[in-house]
Amino acid sequence: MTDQPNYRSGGGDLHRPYTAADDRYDLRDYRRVGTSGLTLPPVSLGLWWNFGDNIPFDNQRALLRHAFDKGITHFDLANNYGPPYGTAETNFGRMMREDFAPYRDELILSSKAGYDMWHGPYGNGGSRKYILASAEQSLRRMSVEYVDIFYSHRVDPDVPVEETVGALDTLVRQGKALYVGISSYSAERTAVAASVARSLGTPLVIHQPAYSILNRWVEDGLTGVLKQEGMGAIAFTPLAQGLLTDK
Amino acid sequence: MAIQWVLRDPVVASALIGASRPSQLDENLAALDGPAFTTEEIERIDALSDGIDVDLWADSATS
Repeated sequence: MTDQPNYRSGGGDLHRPYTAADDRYDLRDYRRVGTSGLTLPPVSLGLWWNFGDNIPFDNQRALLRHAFDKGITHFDLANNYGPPYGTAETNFGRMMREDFAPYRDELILSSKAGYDMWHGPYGNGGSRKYILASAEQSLRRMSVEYVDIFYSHRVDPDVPVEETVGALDTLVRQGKALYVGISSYSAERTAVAASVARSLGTPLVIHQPAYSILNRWVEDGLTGVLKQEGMGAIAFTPLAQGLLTDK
Repeated sequence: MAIQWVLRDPVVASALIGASRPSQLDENLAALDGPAFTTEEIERIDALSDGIDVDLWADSATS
């Protein structure tokens, strides 16, 4: 069975309506995120690369269908994944409308704001303005009414953590995010952010750090903080971006 | 194996991977379902990886 779509017959299976594999939940257990009610598959699919407008849409569709058929229920996005910015979300939005709409309740979808996204002072960082405006754009591009997890994508040292976390809290109260989290925050900043979030009544449930055999920084303090706060982690670049092949 | 390793502490609920082809996903999932680590293997990895630090996100994470 080849990975390539069958162009001669007008696309073959890829261009027929999608029905997910019946046995997709028989394959492995789901893992709890901290002490929360959220569970995730042991492997999740990131759309950081390979879902921009530079990649044939059929490749993207084949990948996502295959992932869900294998019980991967979590797709991780961010506003600026592409390239260009925004196109991982728009391409995902098309797959959402065409393939995954019947399965929305079986998916954990995430997005983020924190890095460069649009021109001017409000298109980057940790301000309330940027986070709320960007989240609205992401929902529209992704063709969803809410995301399951919304992240502050990185620390903005120029913005009070109360403002950044307050914006995440607002998204939850607006029904635009079910859970909120942070990415690439230090152990110390994680503890502060978690405390602010708890005081607002919307605890952070998840941290997304870079973590692999070649990059073990999380073990120097972050994992301890996460355990104290009842949070869990989802590790990005677990294969050190190809330095480690998974054999 | 690298994915199993990152998941060995349950505080890490999931490993986020990228893929450009379904076969890559299958390879990573197959490795996940392979034999588990022994304590000796984990200790040996600890000894070898001491001192290696490839954190491209250090600016964000340590500021």
